This record gives sequence, structure tokens and C-alpha cells, in this order.
Amino acid sequence: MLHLFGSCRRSPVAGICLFFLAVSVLGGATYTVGVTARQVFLAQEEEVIPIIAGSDLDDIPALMRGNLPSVTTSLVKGEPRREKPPRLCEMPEDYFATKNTMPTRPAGYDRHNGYVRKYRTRRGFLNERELRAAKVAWHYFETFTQETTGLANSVGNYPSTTLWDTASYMAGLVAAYELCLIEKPEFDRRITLLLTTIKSLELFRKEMPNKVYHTKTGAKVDYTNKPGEIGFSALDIGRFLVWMRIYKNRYPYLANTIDSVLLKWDFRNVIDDEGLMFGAYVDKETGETVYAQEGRLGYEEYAAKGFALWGFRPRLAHRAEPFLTASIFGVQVPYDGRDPRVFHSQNYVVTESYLQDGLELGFDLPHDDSSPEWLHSDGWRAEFADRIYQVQENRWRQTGFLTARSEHNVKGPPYFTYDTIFSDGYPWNTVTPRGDYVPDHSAVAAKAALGLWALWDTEYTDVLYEAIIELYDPENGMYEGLYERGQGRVSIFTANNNGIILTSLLHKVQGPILTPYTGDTEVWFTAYRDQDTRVVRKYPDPPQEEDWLPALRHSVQEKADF
Amino acid sequence: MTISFRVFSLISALLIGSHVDAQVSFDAAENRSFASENAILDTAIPFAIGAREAQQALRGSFGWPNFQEGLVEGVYFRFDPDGYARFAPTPRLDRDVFEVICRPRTYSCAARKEGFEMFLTERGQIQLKLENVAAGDTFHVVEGVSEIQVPERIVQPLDMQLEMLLGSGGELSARRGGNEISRVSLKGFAAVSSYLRWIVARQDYSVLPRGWPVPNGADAATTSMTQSAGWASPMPQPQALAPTVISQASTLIAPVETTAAKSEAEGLRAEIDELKRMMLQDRAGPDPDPVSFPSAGEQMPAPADNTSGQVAELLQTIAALQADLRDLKQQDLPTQESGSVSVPTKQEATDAIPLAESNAAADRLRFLMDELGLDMQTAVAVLQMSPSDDIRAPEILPMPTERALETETAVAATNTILYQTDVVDQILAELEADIAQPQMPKSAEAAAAVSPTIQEYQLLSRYFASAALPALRDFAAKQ
Repeated sequence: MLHLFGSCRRSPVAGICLFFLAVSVLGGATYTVGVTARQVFLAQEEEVIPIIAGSDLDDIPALMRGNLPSVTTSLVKGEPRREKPPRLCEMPEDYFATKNTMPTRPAGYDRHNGYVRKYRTRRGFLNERELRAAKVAWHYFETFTQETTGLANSVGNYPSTTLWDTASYMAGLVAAYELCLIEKPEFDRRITLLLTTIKSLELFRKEMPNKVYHTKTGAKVDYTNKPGEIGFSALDIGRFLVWMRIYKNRYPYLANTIDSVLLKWDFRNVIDDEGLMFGAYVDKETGETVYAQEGRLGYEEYAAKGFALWGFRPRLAHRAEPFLTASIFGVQVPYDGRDPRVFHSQNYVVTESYLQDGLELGFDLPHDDSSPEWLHSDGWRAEFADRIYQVQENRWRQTGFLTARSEHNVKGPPYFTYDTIFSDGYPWNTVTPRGDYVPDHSAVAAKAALGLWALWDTEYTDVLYEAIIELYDPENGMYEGLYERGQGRVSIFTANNNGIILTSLLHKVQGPILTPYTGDTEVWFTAYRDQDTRVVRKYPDPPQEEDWLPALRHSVQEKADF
Repeated sequence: MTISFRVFSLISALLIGSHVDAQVSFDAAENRSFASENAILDTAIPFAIGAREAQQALRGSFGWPNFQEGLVEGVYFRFDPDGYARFAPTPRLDRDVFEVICRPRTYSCAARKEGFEMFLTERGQIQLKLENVAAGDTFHVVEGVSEIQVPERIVQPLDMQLEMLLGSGGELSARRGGNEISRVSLKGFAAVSSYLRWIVARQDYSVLPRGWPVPNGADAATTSMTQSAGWASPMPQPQALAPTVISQASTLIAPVETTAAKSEAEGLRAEIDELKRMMLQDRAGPDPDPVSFPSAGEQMPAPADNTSGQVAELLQTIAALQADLRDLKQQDLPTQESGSVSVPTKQEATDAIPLAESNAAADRLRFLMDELGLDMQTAVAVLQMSPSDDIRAPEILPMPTERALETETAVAATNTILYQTDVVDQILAELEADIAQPQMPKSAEAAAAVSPTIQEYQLLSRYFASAALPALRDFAAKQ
């Protein structure tokens, strides 16, 4: 072997063979590297495969995915959907006599984490005083709606508004129609003008609606109502989405218009893959858009359900955690556990967000369209709301202070206060947005008082009712509230206050405002299927059962904690 | 003079009241007045060193998204672009709060706290409005157990001295007939008055007081301030500096000062001292006792060489009047002595007793003033009101039938010292008028209403202890 090897090595033939062998190896190696590189660098082009409906690569064709029905509890469980109640003037006299709203289960959580409250809601026809309050509250919107745009002023005749307050106007409009204060032509005229204006609003950097708009011109403005842009608020958008869904479900003939409004918006940055909501603001130094998590316990879950009603999956935003409790008058009041010193966002505990959840959504999950009115599928929200109510009643019983706390506007500086049950480590803390402690501005908020009255049929809310029901100015609407320290009325009139009061009165007549969707497919889910717009803007597909927000529960306080 | 002064004060108070009402009753609440043109301050310009502009998250459709917060003169503050501000000694701005509100689109601002309002006049002077205060009320700056009375003219536009006095802290107490009708904390007074001036001056630092921690002046003059322990900590700590301390500190912080500035500061300080002395004399009451004004050469503190001309002139006037008074006393004394001698001639049986009583009364007077700290008038009033048995030694007690006469004699002897002639009283009145001291009510009822108590005089301020007591001791020693 060695001999043979040695002789070949020395022969010319062996040299030629070796040469060709080396050339072959090098050529092969070069070819292999080239092919591999081609495969690596040009892989994307080669792997572009057109989506063909029915192919193996596409179980559910994107073009058809929007045609899937949104899966709700009525579809899954085969239960009958709730029905939209008739208008007040169309209700038979025995409507409430035949309607059984009494629970058939004991109070507390059930095995599906639904919750039965120990309190009852008020249901029935409106009496004369309530009807007068409704008329006066609606008069606010008659007075302060701009004819040019259909937008209603947030505060009196100051011509600016937010999506939050626009939702309050929409709430007032629904209530006015359902309580027969206006008829359909007026209702249609107003809502059509409003939706048309909202669709034409210039967005914040072509993403989402700006935080504030001028109600006369519809121009996006800054906080001083001058042309400019601030950013967008996920909470405001969430509340607006709740009311867009209420309109769409109640009045299907408006569905196309409503969908076309939302299909202008770009949701790519407002909610992330984990389900957290983000607001946006403009960095003062660089002018760039900054996205920051928005929402704290109470408001965050309410707004999250607004997004979920349109197919988004705000899983983390809907969770109560992280939360802590503060023992106040024997009640463990839940508050957001994110440290304000770290996150630079206060954890205000007020009544309003719980009220809105109860009045508008019935403390139910977005996919629930079949559970009875007394069973709240978003159980912990109802249980937390009971605590929020109880601590305020306890304060009244133990100190004599009539208490119905919420955020509210005030006359003059500081213009706005968070009149909280708990915030910044203090119970009954009344603070301005910049953090000043302003106890002189603590008040019985009219919207909170009427909301509590509607959702908690108790002796205490009877007292609240007496304090508030005649607190109105026939020319301007319901007053914002009644100062706690005896300075009289909070002499200011707002869309939010009057809208929530109308919602409370409507809830007495019709129960939870959100009604089930009765259509099949929605433009919201089928539009832009032939483009990449849905992907870019993160428009959701119709929610399926695996997309449902989970029903959760938290520990229940069984005895007073002092 | 007193009546006209009070009438003037009353009219001034009414005018001030109406003016302040007009200032603070503007309808800032109607939010239609809320607009960007209402911004009168740039919150990016710090009011004091360490202040910072901050953003706030707004829920509503309007509001100021930015504000400024900081700490100065021992109080935390936050203010908005429209001038709305709050000053309080705690970072939560929750107690003892000065709230400043400005008329929209103007630089006209007013600060208020419970029972108390202040604003700038057109001449740039701070003017106060105290609720529930009427003519004849007395005002006192109280700090702990120490207190000093301030003139009624604090309800008029404040001069520099009074403003600095009120800015030194403590509490302002208003009293009527010895009863306190209101008490207002003065914490933040200095900062708020500076803030009001700063607004009017369009955020010009030149109007801020000397020693104010002006930012961007980080030279040798201000670096020492930032090196204090409080400012070196992660969180700013209160720096409770009284204006007088600030003025002293300013001389240390800013060694490069003009001679004129130095003399001005020292002049101001001398004026403050004089003001304190005048208030001290006023505190001593409407006592027309000439000995309460010690002779210029002996007891009057020598004016500083660089005292302002006005104060020096005032002191010279006082000294001249006192010299005239002494001359008059010497002229009147023989007459009075002969008069007093004439009394024993009328009472031959007790000719030696009045002299002994006079000595005893002087001893008791000295005891009351030295040991108990009473002023002359109060001590005499105590002697007059006390039973005769108590003020006389048993061995020199006269017969019961003679007591009344002898008491009158003793009082006459005392009055011989205190009120020698009408001329003296007249001169004393003129002297008081010249130094513009508020007069005590002369009617019997008013005098009774404001008559001082022993407890009041036991609460001596450090000024009283340092200035008035030596004078009284000297006087007592002379007796």
C-alpha cells in the first residue's frame, strides 16, 4: 500500500490526478457554498406562496375569516340571547310586573366565577321627578351641541371635547331616544351628523383620534383649544368603543357607518400582544410620539372591555392584578398596586368606572350575551363595585358625610379634581391632576349619586337621590354636584355628568345598556381582506371562544376589617 | 388725631375691601375664559433654584398640561401657566395653604388663605385684607410665646419694614378688646409676596428679594446655597430662612456688593430696629409717662452712623422733645413740691405720713415694675386698686377716718411724678403724634376694653426684654 502510494505520488499521472481531484473538490465546494448562499439570501422570494383558499397552508382563508361569526355565550351554550327592551313610551304598563329580575342563586361567586350581588338594582318606570331630571339633563346636550359638527361641548359652552365626553353625549342621546324625550328623526339626525364628523376627524399622526377636538370646527387641538395635537388616550378610546358597540348592537342600521369610522383608525400601537393598553403623547423635547401604558384599576378594565367588544384581546389590561387593598371603614377597598413613584401615574379609586361597567355592561364579560341580569359574568368587577359602594355608605353611617365620590370638574382653578375614595396612600383624598390636596373641592358628585342609586337599591341611595334629583338648572342641565363642606352646588355643567345621569335613569327602565348583536357578519371584520391593511393596523378577526377574556375571581371579604 | 386716623383707616379698609373683592370675584370659573391666552407665566422659567417644570395627565378636555413645582422660603409651591398657585409648608400642599388666583389674561393676582387675602397695589406694595377686622382692633405678630404688636396700618399698603416683619413668619393675630378674633399663619408670606411681584414683572428675577435663590446664577454667590445639606439630599428640603436671615446671608453669599447696596441694607436694618422700638413703646401702652422715653444721651440707643436721614431726623426730633420735657419737669418740680408740701400743712397731725407713704409707694412701684414686669401705668393702677391695708406698712397706718384723704394724698404724690402739669401732657401727646404711634382709645369704655392684663405683660418679647426693661429699671433706680 505504501509502495503503491509512493509510486503514484512520484508519477506524472498521479500529479495530474491529484490536480483534477483538487479542482473538483474546490469546484464542488464553491458550488455548494453558492447554492447555500442563494438559498439563504433569496429564501424569501422563493418561499412567497400565494394564499389559495382551501389549500393546506391556510385552514381558514384570510379572505373568509371575517365571515366567521363572533362567538358568544349564546352561540356556545345555546342559550337565548338577551333582548333589547322597548322604549319607555312603548312599554306595556305591566312590563315590570311580568319581568322577573330576582336572582335564583345565593349571593356570591358561582363555579364559573360569575357573581350574584347581594344588592338589587332599581328597575321600573320613571316617576315625575326622574323624568324631569332626564329632561333637564338632556337639555344640556340640546344647549351645548354644535350644529356644525354635531359634537357636544365637554363643559358648558367651552367648545372642546374628548372621546370620553363624546361617548357621554352618545349615552345621553340613546337615553333621550329610549326615554322618549326625542323621536327617531331627531335621533338619526344627531347621530348621523356626529358619526360623519368623527369619521372626518384628523387623527393624531394618522393613528388614532387626538385627545381633544374643537367642537365648532372639528379640528384637533391641544388642551388650550388651539390647533395642535396632544396624543391619544386609550381610556377615552375604550369608553368610546363601548358606546360604538352599544349603538351598533341596538341600531343595526347604523352599523356600516360605525364600522367605517373605526376602520380609519390604526390600532397597532394602542394595544400590544400581551393585551396592555397604551396611550400616546408627544415628547416635548424631541417631538416624537411616546407610547405609555395607560389605565389603572377601575378605568383600565372598563376600557379594556371596550376594546374586547370589538374583537381585541386586552388580557392583561382586564386583569385586576396587581392590586392591593386599603381597609377603610371596615371595607377592603381595592386599588392599583403599581407604585405611583415608579410609574408616575396615580391610582385613583373613584366610583365612576365601576358605575359605567355596571350601567352599560352589567358587570358582564364582552362575550356574554345570554346570562340573566342578576348574574354578572365578570364576577370580580361586580364584587369590587360592591366594596366601592359599601365603603361610601359606611362613611355616611359613621361620619354623617353623604358620600358619592368621583372625578369631577369644578368652577375655576383647578378646574378638575379627582375626588377619590383612596389615592396616594390617603383615604378620601381630593386631589388635582397635578397632585394638590384640595379638600374644599370634595363633593357629592351628581353622576356618582344617581349611578349608585340605580345600581344599589338601598336606604342610603334613597338619601343620595333626594340630595341630587332636584340639583338642576333648567337652562343648563344637572349641576356637577353638591359640595361636601357646605359651599353649595358645584356650579358647572358637563357632558359627562349629564350623560351618566341619563344612563342611570335609562338603566332603571331598561337594565344594562349593552344589548346583544343581532346580525351575522360585520364590515368591521370583513373589510380590507384583500389588502394588508388589517395586518398593518392590527384589525382583529371575529373573536372565538379561545379569545374570550377569562372570568376571574378574587378573595372575598367575609367580615369587616378594622 | 386718633379719631381722624381711625376714620382714615376705616375708609382705607373699606376701599381695600372693595378692591380685593373686585380682584378675587372675577369669574375665572366660567371655562369659556380658559384659553391659551390666559397663560401669563412660562412654567419653564423656574421661580427659584431647584424648581422644575412637570407634566400632568389630564382626564378632561382642557387644563394646563404643564406646571412648575419647587421649594423656596420653607414652602412648597406649584403654579400653572395662568398664575394659579398654591404655597404650603408640606409637599402635599394640604395644610396652611396660600392660594393665588389671577384674573384671566391679566397679571392681576390675589393670594388668600382662610381669613386673609393679599395682593399688589398699583404702586407695587403688598396690601392685606383681613376678614372680620374693624377699626380699633390691634394686630400682633405671634411666634410661640413671643409676640409683638404691629401698627394698625398693616391694613394699608405695606411698607418695606412691615412686609419684612410679616414675612419673618409666625402668625398674625387680630384682637379686639383683648380677645383674639382671628389668627392667620404667615408661613409662605414672603414667598407669595415675591411670587406676586414676579408675575407682575413678567418673571423678571430682579424684583425678587435679595438672597432669593435665583436659578442660573450659579456663581460664587449662589453655589453655597446649593451646597447646603438640604439641597444636597435627593429630595429638596425646606429652607426656612427669615428675611432678616436672608439679608444677612446675602451679605455672606454675595461678597461683591456695592457700597450703596450695603448702606441701603444697613439702613433698612436700622429702620427695622427703630420700627421695633416704636412698636415696643406702643406695646408699653398709651402711657404718657415721660420716663418711658429715656433721655437721648443716656437711654436712647445711639443711631447708627449710616442710618437713613428720615430715621435720624425722627430721632433728633424725639431727642429735642425729650430735652424740652426735662426742662419743663425741672421748672415744674419746685411748684409741685411746694404744692405737695402744702398738703401736710393742711394736715398737721399727719405731716410725716405722706412722705413715708410716698416712699412706700415708690418701693411698691419699683417692686411691681422690676419683679413683676409691669409698666408704669399698670403698676400705678394696681396700687390704686389695691386695698389701703395692703399698700401701707402697719406702723404707718393712719387713723381710719384719715385713710381716704391720705390715699388721695398718696395718689397725688404719685401723680406728681407721672402727670405733673397739663403742659407735660400736651408735650407728651405731641411726642406720640410725631412718632405716629397708634393711639389707645381714650374713652373710658374703650380704655377698659383694651386695658392690659398682667399675663400680657408677662409675655415679654425678646425685644421688650432687651430694650424696655433696662429703661424701666433705670427709671426705677432713679426713683
